[in-house]
Amino acid sequence: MRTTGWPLGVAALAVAAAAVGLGRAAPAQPSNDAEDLLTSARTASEHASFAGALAVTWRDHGRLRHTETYAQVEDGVIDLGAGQSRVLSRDGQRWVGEPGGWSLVLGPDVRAKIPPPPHAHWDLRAAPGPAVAGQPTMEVDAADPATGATRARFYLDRTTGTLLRRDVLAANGELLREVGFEAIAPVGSALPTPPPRHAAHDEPRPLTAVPSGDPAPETIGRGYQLLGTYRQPDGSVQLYYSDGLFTLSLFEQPGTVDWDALPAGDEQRVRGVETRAYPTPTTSAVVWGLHGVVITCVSDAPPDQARLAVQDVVGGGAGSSVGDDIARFVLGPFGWD
Amino acid sequence: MTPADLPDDLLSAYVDGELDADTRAAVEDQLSASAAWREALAEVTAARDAVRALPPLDLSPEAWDRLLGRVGADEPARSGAPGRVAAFRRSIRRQPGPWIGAVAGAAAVAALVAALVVPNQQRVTPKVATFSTQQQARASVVGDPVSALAGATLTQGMGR
Amino acid sequence: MADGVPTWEEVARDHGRFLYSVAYRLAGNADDAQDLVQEALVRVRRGLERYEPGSLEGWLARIVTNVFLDEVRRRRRRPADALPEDPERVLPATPGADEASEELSAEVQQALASIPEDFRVPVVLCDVADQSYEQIAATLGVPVGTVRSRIHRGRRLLRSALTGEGAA
Repeated sequence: MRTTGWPLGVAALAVAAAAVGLGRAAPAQPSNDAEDLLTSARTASEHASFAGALAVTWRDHGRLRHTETYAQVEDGVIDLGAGQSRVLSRDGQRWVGEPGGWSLVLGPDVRAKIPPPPHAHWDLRAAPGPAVAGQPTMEVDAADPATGATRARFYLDRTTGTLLRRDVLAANGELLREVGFEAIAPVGSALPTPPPRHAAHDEPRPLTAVPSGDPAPETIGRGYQLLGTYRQPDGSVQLYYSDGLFTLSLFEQPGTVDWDALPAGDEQRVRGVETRAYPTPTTSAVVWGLHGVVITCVSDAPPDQARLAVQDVVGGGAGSSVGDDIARFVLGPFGWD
Repeated sequence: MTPADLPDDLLSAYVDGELDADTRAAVEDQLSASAAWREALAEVTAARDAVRALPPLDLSPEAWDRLLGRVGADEPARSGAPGRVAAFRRSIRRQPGPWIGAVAGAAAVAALVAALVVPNQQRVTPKVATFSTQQQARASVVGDPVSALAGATLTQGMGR
Repeated sequence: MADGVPTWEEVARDHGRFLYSVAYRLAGNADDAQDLVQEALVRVRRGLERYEPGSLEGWLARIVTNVFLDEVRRRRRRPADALPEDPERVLPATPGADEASEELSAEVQQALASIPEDFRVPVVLCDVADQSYEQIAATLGVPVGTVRSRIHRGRRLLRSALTGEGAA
């Protein structure tokens, strides 16, 4: 399959000294209300038109790692990455492109539940923020209501409302993850986006009515509500949750964990169950096995927040636990639909 | 290879990425020079894209149950000319089926489904990087898509 | 699964949609597609002993193609059988597909079914089963050059069928 070379050319993207017109403004003027700013940002990319160098930073075993990628946003189409690996967002679909071709990893799910609002479990504050990639911003901080500690910061373009940078912080304020534009320019100086030419048959299928057996747990951790369940092409079942600000998935597969085949990670025992944790550039993952089911929890929340959900799922003690519920859900008649 | 020697069926191979570098270069030269070739390229590309855009199809779970029951019971095909598949199979020397050979009809379906849902001890290596991409793809629908999807472009090689 | 070789039940569970999609695009209707898949799975059951772990979908594509071609040859020797109209429900895999795209898919499928099998099979193997020319050549027992020319001719015929213009 032919691929087109994409020069990353970060240095070639000039940051304009004056404000750059980045496409049409969002239909409504951004307000100072923190929740309005966050919810508007979700759709702002449909109206924005720009390209930029995106810096991705994450903490891995105490050390900050850093890399860069490329993003182009135009008329609701988002094209990320360059060279060997790309991601395309279009018409409610998400495609991952590799040398072998494009794979459709997600299609529209009209039956997915609406997530709770961001303020449901987080205290939000908005104030004028610093310039990001040369653009003036509004900064929204999300704090843990129990401790008052800020755990996430969002920097939104004051004109268009698009999210320019997102930080995730540890409880002590240390940076855990950051995704932000370092330089942006209008589309026109960027390369055109070719549409995906071929999809491998690998999109997830929503799982709907359960004929019998136990349903997946509706809530886990501190406020993560179940929004949808999906059968992935590899046969794993994905339970997708959100607390309104962060998201979390449990991927479940029948079997036992092959620990020898997995890379080294942070090993911890949670309620007597062996787990192994891994950071990725924008998420954290925890793997464990329970009752004949291998569970991988992936979340963009701070790891300690996701761990609350892991503790909930691992459960423990006598009687039925959330983990037992999940095992029955995965292994019961609904497990093979 | 001169332009005059180039067969036009190279165009499909060109679109499919099946040509070596020299032939590809020759085709590209021809495309630059010939409007007819460019038009033909557009036609085969359109036809290729039309087929590739066809959605994958599937049977209902009930239809699968019935079909797999017939496979397990070595029954004739469901439709059309009576016994033609059975006749075909009679021409092939049969090997004895394992557990399912002696079970027929609804009992075979039940046995098949039961076998598939019994928890097993298969060793599993979770594809953490793939799961991260799938989770972030879903998150990008309800949150900011750029920051949610940025990580998916970065291969970390964790059991992928 | 033992030693990387799946059981036929695992093949049906994990690759059934792939098998059915390829079979449907070859045969052009649900009834024949189901028969192809059923026969293919019977051959999978028998052939698993000799399967060497590798491209499973390539192996499956070859099996369902051979089943289809066997049936094509059989029908050429006998008069066509009248198949009953039994609309077994075929599920599109993409949820929420809109009517316009379903209509277009039906048109493309109809056009695909209208071109001769000699050209339809390599086009389906390339564009539905995602096989390389070399894999298709091995499946059909023809040289790669023949695969190339049949795919090209098939796409020109398909284009003509879709636009109503005469094939070049």
